[in-house]
Amino acid sequence: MLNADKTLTSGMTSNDKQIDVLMRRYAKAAPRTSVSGHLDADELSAFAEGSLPPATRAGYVSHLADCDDCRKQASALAISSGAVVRTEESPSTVVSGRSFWQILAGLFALPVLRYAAFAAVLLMVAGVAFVALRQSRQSRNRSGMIAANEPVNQQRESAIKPPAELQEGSRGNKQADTDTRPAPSPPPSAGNDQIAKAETTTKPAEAVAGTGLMKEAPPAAPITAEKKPAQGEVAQTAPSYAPVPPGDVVTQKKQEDYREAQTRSGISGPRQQQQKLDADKFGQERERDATKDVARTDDLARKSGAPASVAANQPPPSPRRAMDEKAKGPMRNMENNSINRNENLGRVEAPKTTSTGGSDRAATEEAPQTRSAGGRKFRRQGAAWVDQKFKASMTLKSVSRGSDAFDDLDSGLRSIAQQLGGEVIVVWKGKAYLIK
Amino acid sequence: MRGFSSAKRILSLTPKQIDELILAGADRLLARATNARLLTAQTLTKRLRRVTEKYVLRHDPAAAAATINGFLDGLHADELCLVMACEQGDQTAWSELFEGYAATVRSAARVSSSSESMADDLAQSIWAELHGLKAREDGTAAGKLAYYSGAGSLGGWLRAVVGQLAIDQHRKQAKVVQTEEDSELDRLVLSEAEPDGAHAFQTAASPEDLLAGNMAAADVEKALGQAIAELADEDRLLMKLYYFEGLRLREAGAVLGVHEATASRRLTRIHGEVRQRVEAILMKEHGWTKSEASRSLAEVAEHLQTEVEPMLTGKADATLRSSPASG
Repeated sequence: MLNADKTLTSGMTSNDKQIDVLMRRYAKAAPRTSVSGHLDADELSAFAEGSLPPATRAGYVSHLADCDDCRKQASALAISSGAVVRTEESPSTVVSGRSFWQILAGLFALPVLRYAAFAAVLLMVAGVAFVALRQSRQSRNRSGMIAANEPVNQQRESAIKPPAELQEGSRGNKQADTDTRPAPSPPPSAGNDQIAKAETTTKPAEAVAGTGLMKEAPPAAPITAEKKPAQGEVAQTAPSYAPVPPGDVVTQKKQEDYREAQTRSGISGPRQQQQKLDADKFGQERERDATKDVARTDDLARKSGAPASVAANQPPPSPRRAMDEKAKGPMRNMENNSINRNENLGRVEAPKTTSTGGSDRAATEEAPQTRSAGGRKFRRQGAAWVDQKFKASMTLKSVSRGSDAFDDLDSGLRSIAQQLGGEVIVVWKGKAYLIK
Repeated sequence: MRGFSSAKRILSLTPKQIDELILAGADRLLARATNARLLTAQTLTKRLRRVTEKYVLRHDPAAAAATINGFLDGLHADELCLVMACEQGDQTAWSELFEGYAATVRSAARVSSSSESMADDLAQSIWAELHGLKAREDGTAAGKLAYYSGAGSLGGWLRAVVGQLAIDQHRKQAKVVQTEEDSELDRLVLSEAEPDGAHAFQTAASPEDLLAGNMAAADVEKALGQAIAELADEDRLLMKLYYFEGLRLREAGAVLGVHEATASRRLTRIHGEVRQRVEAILMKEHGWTKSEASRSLAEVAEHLQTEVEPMLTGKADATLRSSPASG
């Protein structure tokens, strides 16, 4: 109330103030008037409570405007009867009783739209300012993109690099690391050690876990540690938006080819479970490859004069890839190391062989070390395929292909033997068979 | 005009139709009442007929049936039944009336009295008046309850009765003892004794003395009174409530049945109308131009402003909140 009166006073124009002053003085000086026919108590209370018909009320209003006595009583009754509270609450009830269209029309009323227009202007200004600031910020970021990209490369490099603990930690880890890069071939061994190492080459996770057999493996040369600074230099000197060097293009192509080969083979990692059918499909091709590899290994052994056992234990090299690796030189080899290590983490490594000479360390050969046949996994051990379920404690039963004993074997076992070719050690119904 | 009268005559209800409406309204009233107190529609009909004549047909002889039904359905059924039962000598109804409204009567008596003892005396007088000290021809007590229509609440009616009775008592005392006490009731009584309001005008003669020396101010004041008299009843009542009775805008709006904001807008509009009327009167009576009339009005207002300013600043917000009449 006080606020409303103050608002009225402060919101008055100069003309209104003049009338207000005149009225105040006139009210003090004006004589009190009273007309005949005062309202009785029932009429006054009915008027004060607003319960009269409009025509009746209009007549009473006319009387009250002229009769000071009745007006005084009526105003006192209206105030005491709570009419003030009723009129204060009435706007809310009016609002709540309005229809949807009335409310909608109220939203677009001029008194509301003037505020809405002001708010819209504010929003537009804020939007323009936001866009302008954002563009300027983007331009600044673009100018500092070279510096901004270096940490990204370094981070990527650090992701490639194994942690120091992994590099200098357990020997098992080192052994696993050697499996993922072209390193000197492990020394030949025979018997159970060969089988165990074959497992480590195809199961990096197990190798990381560390087994007793793995401890016998020599520590791998820190090739990765030697070559990473060079890669770091490349990453630091070559911004991300720089064109890819030709050598990298070749490397990328090789990497893609290798990835494609891995995908096609589907013999390792989680994809193996999903792509069993693909593995069976390409089983025949792999059998032919294996046969060729065996023959190639024998030739190399004869040429180098190395013992046949050593040659047999070496994975079959790929002459073409070996030549490529030589042509690329050590730098190329370093890149391949990092790429292969990155790609082969958790994957099946291609057979990595070196030529008999130490200078041919870069001439690594990648060939499938594991195969699947008949729903089983086989590891290459020399020229033989060994069932993963095979244990050293098992007694091998030797069976020759084409013999009667071979014909007596289960069809599934025979199918596996035919798919893999060569010497195959298969664990079938708890028994180990050496099929030649 | 003749057609309008004939149409109005056609639309007017016959007495028989009005009786039927009232009888039906009595039935509905009894149906609405939570306690009919053994009253019948026939008992109520006479009362309702009188009430309808007073509040509807007197002011709108051609009132439609809907208007009458609306009025009858708006009556306070329970309270009217209680009052009528009291009139018929229902002691239970009397007990309920006293228990239910003794506090209301007492409160109204305190407001209208200057002391507790006077308030007690006034309250006792009210109950006596309600019960009726005299008897009618039919033997029933001629109490004030017979004037309750049910249009307003019983509590509001009792407060109005207490107020009027307080004025009557004060008037009687004022006639015996010429009191010098300056109170609102004194002003009412004195103005009643002197219908021309000369005394009240004399009490506020000092501003007039200030204006008397200035002919322009007198002219403006006269024009102002004329302009106010020409206002519509609602507007005039609002001006009287705000400037004469000293009500706040919220209270003035409550008397008129409008919100405070509505009353404020109306007052601003009335200011403009009054200004136009005053200028028109000054131009007509004195042959002034509009600019001359405006300048004269502004000069008078400025002169009054300088007189009133110290008083307004001295009373600060209290003066702004209260009426100019009371301030």
